[in-house]
Amino acid sequence: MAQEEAERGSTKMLEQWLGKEASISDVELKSLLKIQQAADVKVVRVFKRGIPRPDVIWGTVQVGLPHVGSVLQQMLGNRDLQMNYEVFPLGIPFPDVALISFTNIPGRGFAG
Amino acid sequence: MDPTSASLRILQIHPSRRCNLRCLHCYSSSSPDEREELDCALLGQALIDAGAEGYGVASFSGGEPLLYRSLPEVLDRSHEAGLITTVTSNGMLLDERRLDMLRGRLDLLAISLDGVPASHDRMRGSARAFAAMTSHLRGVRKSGIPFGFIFTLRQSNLHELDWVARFALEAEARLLQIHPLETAGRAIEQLPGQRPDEIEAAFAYLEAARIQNMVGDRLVIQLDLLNRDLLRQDPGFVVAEGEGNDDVAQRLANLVSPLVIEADGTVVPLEYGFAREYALGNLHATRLSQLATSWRRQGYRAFRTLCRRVFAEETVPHEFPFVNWYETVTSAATVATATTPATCMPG
Repeated sequence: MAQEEAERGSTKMLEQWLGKEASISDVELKSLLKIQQAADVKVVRVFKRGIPRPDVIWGTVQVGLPHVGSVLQQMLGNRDLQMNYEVFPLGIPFPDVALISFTNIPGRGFAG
Repeated sequence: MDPTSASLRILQIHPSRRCNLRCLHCYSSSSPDEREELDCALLGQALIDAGAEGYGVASFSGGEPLLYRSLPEVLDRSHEAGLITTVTSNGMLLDERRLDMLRGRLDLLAISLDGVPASHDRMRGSARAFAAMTSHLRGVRKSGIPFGFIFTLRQSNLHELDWVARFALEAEARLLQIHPLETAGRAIEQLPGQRPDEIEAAFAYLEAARIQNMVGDRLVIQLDLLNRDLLRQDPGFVVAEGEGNDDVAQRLANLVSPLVIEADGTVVPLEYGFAREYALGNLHATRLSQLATSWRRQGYRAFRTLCRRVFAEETVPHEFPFVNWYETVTSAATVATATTPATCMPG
């Protein structure tokens, strides 16, 4: 096959999102999978970058309200993702889902 | 009836390996050179028998099913037998005449889409494959036949999935199925190293979840991988439970799905090309109802043993959680028959 076929599609996908130096370690990939597989979780966005080692990660997951506690507990207990979290309930008049935004950047807001 | 439901038992039919293309990743090595095709009456009887055995979906693949001359008749026979009909096509031949033929006979049309136009054409071995396929999408929409796209995930093309999803959305498709490339057929020689590994499968899972969230209920995203954690929780999803004392009384669809009819009449479990030692037999020799009776009594035990062994191997902790179950069982069957053929014989 052509030279272009040697590169992973996931590497090119991360480059499309974040630029040439984007990467994600196997350990962090597994951590993200654990979050994703928690009950009633939808990944809204996950971004990661760092040279040469990934050092910045931020993202948002959508979680059914009854599961927010257990998902947060799982995220907080994950040693591979030492992060800050914010929870935003969604739904009018009664919240039924929540967005959990997370980042490992100290003091960072969640607009990015 | 919902043709996208995972709970339906599938009869997959390859009425011919004749195709207008010679795709690099074709697991059945179909091509314009192939001429063999199943007799319409023979296949019609098999469809009736399959309905009686509990199958709910007749899924026609190939080759290009639109080149099978008796397609209208076998689609009609499928409906008569109570089966939902699906056809997998490269989409290049979906002209007005063929769409008229399919209307009312077809419940779901699955069109292959291998990535951005250049990637699609390269995989299809035709510089006009993408243009020809897309030129028919307006007619497909107008026909009212529900349709979706099938994307073959390779080691190097996950970054094209977002484009594919947006294309499917714009085309008003209802389904986007992501099927990992398997090392079978023409892909063995033409696409070495392109079977997605566990890391690509994991990224594909995350990307599919992100896209599903992006598109909401406008498009169903289906990734053909199983999560080992879920397998552990629900073994009955892939492996028949119990001791098998009542297998003879079970309908065939409760024991094996998908069931595959190949272009030469061979009937095998799970996937095209499954090891012949596990085959039910050939429709040219015996009708499906009788093959089923014989297999339940003799051949099924070896198949069940194989599935349980693979289940045990695949549900111990792995580095990543995803497995292509059908491919894994198919590979294990090939290895088993190469090393200890006697263990797989009926009896």
